[in-house]
Amino acid sequence: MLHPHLFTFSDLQAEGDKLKSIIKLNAGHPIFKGHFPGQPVLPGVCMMQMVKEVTEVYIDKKIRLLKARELKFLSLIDPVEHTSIQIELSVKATDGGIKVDARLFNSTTLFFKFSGLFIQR
Amino acid sequence: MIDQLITCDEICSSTTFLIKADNVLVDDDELSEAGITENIAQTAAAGFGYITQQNKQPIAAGYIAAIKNLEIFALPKVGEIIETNVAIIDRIFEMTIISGSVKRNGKLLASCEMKIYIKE
Repeated sequence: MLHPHLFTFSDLQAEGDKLKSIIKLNAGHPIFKGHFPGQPVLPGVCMMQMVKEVTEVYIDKKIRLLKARELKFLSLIDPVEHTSIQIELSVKATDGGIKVDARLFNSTTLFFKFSGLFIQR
Repeated sequence: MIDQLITCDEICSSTTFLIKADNVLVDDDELSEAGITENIAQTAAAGFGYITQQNKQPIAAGYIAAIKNLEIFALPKVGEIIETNVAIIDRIFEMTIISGSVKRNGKLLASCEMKIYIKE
């Protein structure tokens, strides 16, 4: 789990199948010492993991990613500059599993777009 | 998130990786989806880095710009070794498109295509 060491989230608000929260990053996490030395950037795969972990808390179930058609990493997240990030998710139960569409963004920048299918573990 | 670069040429690279319990991307005794994806990205990075070094050029940082058609069939457990293969499909300016797959004992665990931005 990257939560709560790498990131925390608060203000989890649900409206229909839409979900919103505010993510705070821990710029002191050891991940940023290696990625990259002297130039901290949140690894893209951690954004995937954050989407999964927020969804798990919301539906109160453990899930596993089955497939993702397209994940777009549109802008780099610098944990020092971008201390607070918004996450917006749409979580839908389908025959094939739990379909999640998500975005990470702030007031000026879209960082990440996610579209994937999870199954319950 | 790789241990050894096993083979490498201008197009292909392959690595092995032993999953350890203290890995930041291990959850419930399994390498997470994020971990297996990072392993593919780092197999590509190890290949690029090796060739760059052979050509005596400066090493550049790479970032994942997009992942397409990611499929995860199963996740490897702590103590298991995975073998990962990456092939470069295309290069367009600073973007390199690769195809990657991860196997455990020859059985496919995950595959995807990745667009990697290499900052010169």
